Amino acid sequence: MSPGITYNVYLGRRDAAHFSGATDPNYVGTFSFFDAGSSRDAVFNVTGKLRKLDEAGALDDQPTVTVVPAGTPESGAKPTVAKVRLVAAEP
Amino acid sequence: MDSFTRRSLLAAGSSAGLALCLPHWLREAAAQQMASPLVHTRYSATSNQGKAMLAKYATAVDRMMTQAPKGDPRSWDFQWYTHWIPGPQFPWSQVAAKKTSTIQQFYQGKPPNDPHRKLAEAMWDDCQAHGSNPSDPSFFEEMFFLPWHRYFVYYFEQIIRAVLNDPNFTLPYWDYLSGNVSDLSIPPEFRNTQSPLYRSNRNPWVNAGDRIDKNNPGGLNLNAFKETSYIKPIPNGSVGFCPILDGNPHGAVHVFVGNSTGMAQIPTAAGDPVFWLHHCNIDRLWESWNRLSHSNPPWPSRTFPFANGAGGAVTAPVGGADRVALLHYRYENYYVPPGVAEPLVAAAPLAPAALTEAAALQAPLETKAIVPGPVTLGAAPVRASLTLPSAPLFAAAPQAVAPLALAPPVDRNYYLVLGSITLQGDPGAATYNVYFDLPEGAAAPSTEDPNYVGTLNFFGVSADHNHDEGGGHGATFNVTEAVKNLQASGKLSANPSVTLVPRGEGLDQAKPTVGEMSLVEA
Repeated sequence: MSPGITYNVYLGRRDAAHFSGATDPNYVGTFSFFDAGSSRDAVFNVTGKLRKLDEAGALDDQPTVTVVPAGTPESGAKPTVAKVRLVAAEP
Repeated sequence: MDSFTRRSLLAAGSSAGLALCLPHWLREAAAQQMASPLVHTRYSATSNQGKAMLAKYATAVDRMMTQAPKGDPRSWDFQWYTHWIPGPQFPWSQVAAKKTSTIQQFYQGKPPNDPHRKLAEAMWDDCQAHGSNPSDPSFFEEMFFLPWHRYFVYYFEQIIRAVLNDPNFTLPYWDYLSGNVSDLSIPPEFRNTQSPLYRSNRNPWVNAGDRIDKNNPGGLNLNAFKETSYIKPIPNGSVGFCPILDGNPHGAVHVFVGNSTGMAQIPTAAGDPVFWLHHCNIDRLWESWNRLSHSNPPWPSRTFPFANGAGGAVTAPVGGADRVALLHYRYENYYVPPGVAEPLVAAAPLAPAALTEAAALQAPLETKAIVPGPVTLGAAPVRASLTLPSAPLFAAAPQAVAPLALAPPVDRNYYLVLGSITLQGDPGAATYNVYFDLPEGAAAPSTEDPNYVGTLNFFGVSADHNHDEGGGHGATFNVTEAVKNLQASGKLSANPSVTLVPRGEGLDQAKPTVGEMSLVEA
């Protein structure tokens, strides 16, 4: 079942406890499980974010992706992100 | 499916550009097109015009929920189930089982060829691209998310015009990302517990009037506008404007607004009246992106089934939803990203200057009238009358039945479609001459008669092959000129007839049957 909440995605090294939502410099977007039944991806264009983090020296060789729930998921929901990929594509 | 195709329909026709006036049997549906503005405008739900539309919308929702016959394509549940039937979204085997049982419940006692039942079979569980059918992996495709929902909202809007007998109704859009924090709250009309627009299965803060992203402020965004491609495949997925918009704000708004029995789940989402305002805004955002000179991809030759305001079947090619101008509507305003100049001219004109064959090939085919039930032919002429595809839902308001002296807003052709033709014997070389609205009792009409529209033959049909998987033989006749001439001479009947006059021997044994007869607009 759907957890009924959204999840924020952050890119770059930091303690998850310090991520502060949509205005956070490491924030890249928000996704939901509305379409979980069709197993489609949540996609974020992180081009600009990678550039900014790199310029700020806040990017490791192996960047970290952190997913933080915005709220409490419904009990019984077991949301799973099966795979996280970084894909390069021409515009 | 019948053996005629869009191209064969067009090939059967003459050039477009006809000035037609239609008789009263098409008044309710035709009034929408004949007496309505050339281009409809959809307004923000918070504007004065939008609020006036919401008052009308509440009346329409109440009628669709409480007064429309169960199973009618213009009823609330039918439209909801077109998106998805409440129940499982996966696996597909359970989805299919639920659909079968629901159709049996809705159409108990109705024959398999009941028009509304057939529409339900074709339309329900069709939401693009939020399903997954392992036996037909291309049935749901991410690239169809936006055009399918454009048609879905468009025909829902037409149905409301018919329900209200109001050709000027347009569906408002909910511009939650206007930049005004107050617009992040659901419009107040949806929070009135006495209104047909209210639903209790929303998150409590939503119906309390708080911003929908209360638990994740700023969680909605328009990052999709950074994309310059509509969709771009990547291994096991896709990127681009369409998939990113699908996720956010589309999916996020669903989850912010509803609980697991409402907007937050695909099978129940379209049961909430605010669903339609949300998708109206998604549609507006797509057109906004196109106005920034971003192009849609070449569309495949895929069609989607819908129902129009008259309750008739529609076959809608994906390409016909490419831009709002093709469907003759626009928005009060469009989104322009910060730092981007307002487009001086829309990337597409507001209305096609001419209906070229290419444009016509993308236009939806709409059933405007039918002959109820099969028609059995024989050695004597047979005459049948055309009626609306579904019974009018509500009494027409006086203005809806006013004489149709206005020129049609767009070019169109009318086609008489004879489908599912079967035989019980060999007709030899015998044929039938087909006449449109031939006066009853007219003596021995010839092929020179102005009502003559063509000749039906039985090439390719045999008594041994009446139940092939192709759905049987079909024939199409362009009746545009006949309608035009009859209208011009004031002789077009209120319910035009179709007359088939036998030519040749052996038809009494062959007993041809025309399973379906309809008048289609393209």
